[in-house]
Amino acid sequence: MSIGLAIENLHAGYGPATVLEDVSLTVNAGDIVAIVGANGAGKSTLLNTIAGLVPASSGRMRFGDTDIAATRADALPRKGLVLVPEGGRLFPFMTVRENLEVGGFSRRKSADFSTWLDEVMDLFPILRERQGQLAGSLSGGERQMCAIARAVMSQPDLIMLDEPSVGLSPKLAHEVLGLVQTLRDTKDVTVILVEQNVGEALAVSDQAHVLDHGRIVRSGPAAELADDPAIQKAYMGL
Amino acid sequence: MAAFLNIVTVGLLLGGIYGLVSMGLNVIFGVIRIVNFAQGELVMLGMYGAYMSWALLGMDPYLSVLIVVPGLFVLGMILQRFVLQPLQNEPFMQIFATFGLLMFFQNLVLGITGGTGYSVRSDIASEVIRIGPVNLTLSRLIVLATVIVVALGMNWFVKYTMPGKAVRAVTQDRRAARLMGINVEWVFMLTFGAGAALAGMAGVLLSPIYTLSPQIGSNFILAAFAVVVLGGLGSVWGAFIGGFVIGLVEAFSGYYFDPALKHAIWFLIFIAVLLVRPGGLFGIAGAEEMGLREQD
Repeated sequence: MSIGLAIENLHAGYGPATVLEDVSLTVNAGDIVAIVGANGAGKSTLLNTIAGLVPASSGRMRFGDTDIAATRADALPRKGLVLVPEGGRLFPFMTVRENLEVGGFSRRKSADFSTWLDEVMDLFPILRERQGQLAGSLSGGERQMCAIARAVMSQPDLIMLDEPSVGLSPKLAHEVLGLVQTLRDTKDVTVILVEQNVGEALAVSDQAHVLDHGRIVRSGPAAELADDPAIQKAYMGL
Repeated sequence: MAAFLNIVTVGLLLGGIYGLVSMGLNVIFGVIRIVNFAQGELVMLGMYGAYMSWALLGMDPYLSVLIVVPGLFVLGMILQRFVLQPLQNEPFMQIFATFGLLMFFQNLVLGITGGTGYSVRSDIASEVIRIGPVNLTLSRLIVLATVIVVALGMNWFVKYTMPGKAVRAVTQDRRAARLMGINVEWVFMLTFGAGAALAGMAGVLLSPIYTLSPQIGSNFILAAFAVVVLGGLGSVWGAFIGGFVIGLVEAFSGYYFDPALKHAIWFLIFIAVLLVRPGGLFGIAGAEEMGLREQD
């Protein structure tokens, strides 16, 4: 079941350096929400703060009815919130199948494990072919799919993706972002998508927020932002 | 021929001892990425644990495994939680802290025992089994059997169980493991506990073989370093195979050269292996310097 997220007046950063300044945003259950912006705007920091890897210095974060501002990173998957980190960060010396199994470490529903593994692999057929291969030997696109599949294994209600298309060819990037849509539609999850590939990201998203120097400067329906000449000029190179 | 078979047997039995002593060190290094200088002292504590169970409770030393292994498991968890975990972000300080623990335990036992050398007697330990021309001491055979069972058991655990896979995930990428919902701090505590428990088991099984002294741990840690670097830091089979290599080298060099040269010959091989294969025979190159990836 998809669950939404509400962030109010969030400040966060590394040591004395504040990266996020007074960020407030709402993510509705079942939406794909894009967070776009330039390099260094604070997009990854925002995801890492939600995921509990970077401590919030102030502000509120609610996931559904649960306050998650002080929740440990390793407790969030069990609550239904999972992050796919930038670059995927697979376990390189474990097989694809083992990576997926570890992804199911925090699985909450007690459905049969191998049935669930099968179901996830149905979504990513290439991973079924590669299941016995070491994750470190996968190509860029396969690696990204494996990372997403690994996160799906935990049966999340909300999945955050940090630059899933980075380093991929335009064709592969399109494929991966298409998969994100399929994922939302078939597995009933909310998606927060951080992307530098603004055009593609807005095309698959329902809502979007523009982050600039740690602040939200624009929010709205993704289609509306995609048509905005200012956004096109600043972020889409048009 | 009989001499040769006897040397091989002695070497394999010694290898079992070195392998068993090294396994705990390797488990701790493999997962937490710290070199535990106090590992030999944990073996020493295991030996004194067996002595106390024997002297105070009249237990056969082999039976004291039931007390010593859980005892050291708990001690290991406590040490990790209260000494090493506060230094989590300072790996060098952690290593110094383990050196501090080495000095602490050695001198604590020295203070309590006054340096008297104790020995433990077991009814079964001194039995000798003859197979043709080869003599096998039962106490050493037990060590050999144990190291094989432990290596197989650990291999099964990390390969086929979910907790084992979680441990491997932590060794390969801590941050990603955390994002999968794995409590990395708990994994570290349990791992250090397991490493200490393995040291305790080694101590118990070696107690009928050696005369106990507070400094005996230094003998073992030297062997364990040679074994682990030779076999590969962090590899399950590294300590196992490395132990046999070192044991056989010691047996052969003792027979053909001079037993006094054993340390020199170990470390000659040790350096030679490092020059050719920096990751050890079964290790992953670079694993000795840090985690496989930026660890946080």
